[in-house]
Amino acid sequence: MTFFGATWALFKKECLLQARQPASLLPMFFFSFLALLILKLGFGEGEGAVPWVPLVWATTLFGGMLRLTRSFDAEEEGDLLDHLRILPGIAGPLFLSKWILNFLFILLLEIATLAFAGIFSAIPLTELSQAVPAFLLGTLGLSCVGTLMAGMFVGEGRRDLLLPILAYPILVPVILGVLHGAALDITWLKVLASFDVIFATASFMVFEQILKG
Amino acid sequence: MKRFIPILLFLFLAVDFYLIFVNAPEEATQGLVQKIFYFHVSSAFAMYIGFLLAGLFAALYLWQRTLMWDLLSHAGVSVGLVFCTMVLVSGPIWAKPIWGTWWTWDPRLTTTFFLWLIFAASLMLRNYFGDNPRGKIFAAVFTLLGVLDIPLVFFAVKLWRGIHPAVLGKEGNMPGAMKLALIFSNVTVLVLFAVFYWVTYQLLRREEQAKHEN
Repeated sequence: MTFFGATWALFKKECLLQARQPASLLPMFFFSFLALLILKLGFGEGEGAVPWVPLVWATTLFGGMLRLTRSFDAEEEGDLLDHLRILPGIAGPLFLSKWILNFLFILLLEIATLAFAGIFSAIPLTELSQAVPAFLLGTLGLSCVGTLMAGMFVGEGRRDLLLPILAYPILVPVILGVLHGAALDITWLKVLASFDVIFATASFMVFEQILKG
Repeated sequence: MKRFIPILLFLFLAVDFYLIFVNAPEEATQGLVQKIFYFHVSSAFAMYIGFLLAGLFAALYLWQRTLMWDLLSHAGVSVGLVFCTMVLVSGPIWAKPIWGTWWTWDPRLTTTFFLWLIFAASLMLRNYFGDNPRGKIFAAVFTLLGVLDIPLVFFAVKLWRGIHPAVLGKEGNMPGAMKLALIFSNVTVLVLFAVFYWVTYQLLRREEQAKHEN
């Protein structure tokens, strides 16, 4: 089976598993709505109180981490990961399939968060369209680093605490990049793109080491 | 040989202190507090060298899985973190009288602070996994990711145009005595760094040996 063939097979499996339990996404969206609400209340009321970009991005970072800590839950059951480990060349497709899935879920979360934010205060369409590249690049970086690190904590009890502690400092360029790049600042978009390329390359190179432990 | 190391360090520090506090003139606008710069810049170099070596040895460990590389990487993170702490402490001590504030969210300060968080997290990761050999692999991977973050510190001032003084690259402005003090400070701190690194590595090696004997 080719690299992309294996990736597609694994991605399809993930989608099928997720389709069987759609309700598992609800806590993530509900958490994001509550986080957004708390941030909105905390920083004051009124349309001009807090710009929407930091609100939405902060909520995405917190809610997205909930998804990322569960990246390898399916493989924990029945020791599936042990069976996958012995397959030659599985690391790359496994990582890519997980990364794509996490990216899509976090993107969905962002869209939902934007909708929630739009309920509290109007978001101008021009600002929204300008912010799309930054959010896309930022979400790519977040899902890439989060997926890689989630692989370290498969079966570990304290991953909900440790994954954010490890991931957020590494993700600082992405965090800042989205906040500043949302105004279509090309320099910041280059920073985001550079981060994504560098860390994607590194992730593909080291994921096999993490998988084999 | 070991008994000469403290003497050597003492000599380096003595000459360095002379060059900084006696030979180098006081800066016209900043006064005495400017002399923190000699320790601050030197510590920053030592910090980067420590983290870069940690990354290099982490990569070697992932490639060859030899314990020595893991111990050297661990030592690099530990010692680099000490000098990173020095940078973050000496910077605000200088900043308070000059900028009027202990801290600003200046890009280089901010990224140096986050480098501290990354490598502190790396030690936390090692501590979590304890004697589990997987911890060494994960720590090596995480250290490599942290090292990839380092270039951002260099590009910070250029990209974000913060208020951090861009000293390097403007050697024409610095009097000879100050340049000499800066160069010798760098050498002294590097000697200190090398000694710390070696001692830390030996401690870690003996810890591993003691674990295997038990």
